[in-house]
Amino acid sequence: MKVSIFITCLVDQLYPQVGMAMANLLTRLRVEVTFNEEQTCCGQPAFNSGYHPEARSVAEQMLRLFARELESTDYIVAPSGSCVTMIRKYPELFADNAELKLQAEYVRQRLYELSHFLVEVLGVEDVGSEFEGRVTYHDSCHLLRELGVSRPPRKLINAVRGVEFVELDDAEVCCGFGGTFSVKHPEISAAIAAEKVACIERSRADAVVACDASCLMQIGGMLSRKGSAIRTLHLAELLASPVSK
Amino acid sequence: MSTDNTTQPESFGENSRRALTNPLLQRALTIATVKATSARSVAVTHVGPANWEQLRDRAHAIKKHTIENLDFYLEKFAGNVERLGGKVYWAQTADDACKYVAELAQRRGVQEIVKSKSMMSEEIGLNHALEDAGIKPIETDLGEYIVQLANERPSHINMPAIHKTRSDVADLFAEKLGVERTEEIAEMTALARRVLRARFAEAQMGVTGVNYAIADTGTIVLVENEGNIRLTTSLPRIHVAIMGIEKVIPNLQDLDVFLLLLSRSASGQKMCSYVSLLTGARSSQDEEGPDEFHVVLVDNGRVEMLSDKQLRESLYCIRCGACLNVCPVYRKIGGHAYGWVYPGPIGAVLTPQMIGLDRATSLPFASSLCGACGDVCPVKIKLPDMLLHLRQRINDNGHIKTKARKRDRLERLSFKFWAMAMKTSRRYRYVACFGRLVQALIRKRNANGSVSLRVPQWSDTRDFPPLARRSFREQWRDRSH
Amino acid sequence: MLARIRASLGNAAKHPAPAKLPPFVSQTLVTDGEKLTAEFESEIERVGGQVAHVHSSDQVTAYLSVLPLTGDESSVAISDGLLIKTLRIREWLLTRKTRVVTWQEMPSMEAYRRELLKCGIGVTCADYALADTGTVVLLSGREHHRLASLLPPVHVCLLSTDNIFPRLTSLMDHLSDEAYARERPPHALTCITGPSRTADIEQQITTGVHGPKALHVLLYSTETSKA
Repeated sequence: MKVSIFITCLVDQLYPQVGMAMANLLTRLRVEVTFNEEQTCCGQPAFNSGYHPEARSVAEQMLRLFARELESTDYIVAPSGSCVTMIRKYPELFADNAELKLQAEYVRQRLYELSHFLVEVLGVEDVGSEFEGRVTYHDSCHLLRELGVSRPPRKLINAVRGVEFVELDDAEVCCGFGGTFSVKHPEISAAIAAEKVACIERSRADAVVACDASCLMQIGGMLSRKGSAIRTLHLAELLASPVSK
Repeated sequence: MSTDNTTQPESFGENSRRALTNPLLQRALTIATVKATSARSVAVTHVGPANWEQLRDRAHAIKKHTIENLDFYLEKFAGNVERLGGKVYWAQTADDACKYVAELAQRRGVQEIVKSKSMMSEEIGLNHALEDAGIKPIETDLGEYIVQLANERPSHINMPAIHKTRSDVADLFAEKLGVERTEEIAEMTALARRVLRARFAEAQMGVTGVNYAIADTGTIVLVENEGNIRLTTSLPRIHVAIMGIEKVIPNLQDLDVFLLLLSRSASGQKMCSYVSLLTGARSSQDEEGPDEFHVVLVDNGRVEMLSDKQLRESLYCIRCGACLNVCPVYRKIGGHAYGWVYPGPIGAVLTPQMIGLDRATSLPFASSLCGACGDVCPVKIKLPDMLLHLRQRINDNGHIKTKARKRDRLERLSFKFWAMAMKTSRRYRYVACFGRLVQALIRKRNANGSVSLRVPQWSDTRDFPPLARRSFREQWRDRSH
Repeated sequence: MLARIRASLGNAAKHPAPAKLPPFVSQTLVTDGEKLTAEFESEIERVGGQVAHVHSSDQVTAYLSVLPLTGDESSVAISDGLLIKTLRIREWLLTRKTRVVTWQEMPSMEAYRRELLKCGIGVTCADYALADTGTVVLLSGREHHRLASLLPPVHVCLLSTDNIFPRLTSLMDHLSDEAYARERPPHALTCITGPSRTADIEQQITTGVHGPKALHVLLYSTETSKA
């Protein structure tokens, strides 16, 4: 099986280790991984801020790139529920252009968020990795509510050797990031994050895992500000280290 | 449109900062929204998620069908009310509606009006209009009574005094009613009953809202827990019901679905204590009840809302308040921060449509777009999509001049630049390189020794991670070669 | 306004009645009499109402005799429901020297209301009930029970077990073809589910805010019909 990975701009620039972890993990699972360096951003920041022409111009070149990639690969996989959600909206975004809409429909069917891909397409729950510690999981809003993915990440985490999994109170409540919302209304955004962090602290976990770098930036930024020792980990990072024998 | 001077959705930023620093409000909001959301979840689990979805789909379908044929159903409803001896008044504006009620009261020599909780009454500013006409409106719903005594505005659609703790209410009652201060909720409730019973005994005119209007029979349906609506519609000799034109549903059989959804979504109840179906004016066999029955059908911008197909769905709202309770933003700032009658996600969608985009530019952006509102909406209004649509419309309207306009212009420029930069991977890489160069200027060391960046609007409250020394694409290239 | 609505919707000035939505059945309905009664009972208790089975006048009066009447609210209001007459409740109250308030004996509605405010108990019949929510339904027209069920702090409601419907849809199906199909439909239909309640202060439930603080439903059936 051949997969073209979509490394979101946030992961590319701020959390490259998440991208590397995902690539290594897929390779370990005998998936042939390719990465097209021409990719940039899915267009979500502009789209969610109400700048649709700007979003479209960026999204169009990404759509064409994904369509090209799918000529030689089976799937597109990304380490983000949020960006996958955005790309799944492309048919709607290009509703007035028959050619692009058709392409968008096609891409939509072959596009997966990482945890969803592992469990649904590869049919793996135990990826043979190891992590020592108590781990909790935060549901990213778009992954949970737009893509309906809630069980796959939990199954994957539970199967990691050495992990003591604990459910987070209000796991499905937003972390308060919300893209430009986090800078338009920083006080509200931070107040919501503070609630999330309080739940995380209550869980007494060593690490909080999520499937979106944006949530982890928000949660991690708050934990770090509070001087907390709790780590933030992308699911790909948690699953990256193979069982040592 | 409302002429209320206190309409301040454009002060959303200041309003919300005030709310965030009010510890009593924070406590009150947490108590109320946590209770309401968990009660709702239990109720939904009890119905069964599949059944619940089926009910939501049905309610959505009924609303869609009725709204798309609103002219037909409204005409039928009004015709039936009139046939059964009721009076129907078509009010195009808030002022028209207020004037009708005030003049009716004056003609009948009424000086005091008992009212039940009605968002429509808030929307049209009826209490102000009545006071200006020398008529005293008395709110009888306990929450509304508290809010009226405090000279405030309700901060929630169906829990008007959600922002007040028992201690606030105790202070208020002691001050305004001249009674001995008590924090016992049962005692405060009994006190309100006594005070308001006396008003009910005297009242000549009662004003209510409407939850549903049945076209087929000309019936209005009122849902409540306290019994004040039953009193308002049974004791005074005149009953005036004010309703938005979107409240109509085709027939009595449709009611069940909405009742199943409404109370469960609002408070987790299977059924509210009282549901009253009132049809026309009373006949000679029905000696109990008012002599006169008036229905005021209010447009107040709704007809225009119908013309935007993308936003039309916001008229499906049944005012359950579930989207408020579950909204992480509402939970932190409460209803008053939204600056107008309807708060929370539904308020952020309704307010700009009702008072004008230019007077509520902040509200559609007051959401993290987490989608929880759309998930709980019992009539499946796609609230996040509507917020996005409104954001786009506000940006498209370059002529909108607001306080935040300067920042808006900067934002627009930034996104133009962003689109250019993201257009090719070469430009993207240049921008990233540039970013890595300049970040040295804004680096700072955190308490725990790690490094973060000083980013405006972010790092006052949270740490911002630095850009990685080598991006993923660089690392990938190293690996491949 | 209708013309403006049509313009906004893009509807033609005269268009035929829209096609009705297909009928909707959400859940299978319980129709078995015994089960309906049992469901009704458990639901009404869940919402804080009290329920008892009665088969005779003596049992009704025995139930009433233990309900306290005090102070300013020492009268009992009774409506003119058929079952109340049949069971001779008025006569029994009079033998106990209780002040009885009835609509028929009042000179005016004004006077009736004033007297009702001094009643500690209101006794009425219910026309129907809904099993799945524990709701009693009062229909205006035949009986004067609108105010007697609302103003006194205690509402005692007599209900014949024959009149329990599974849920609102089934009652609405029945009434649409009957009461609401008449030239003059009933002016008021009131669904009562438990006592009056509020949660407006800190979401703490308190009963008896404006309506009755207590609701007692006496389920009436003759011994034979029960057997």
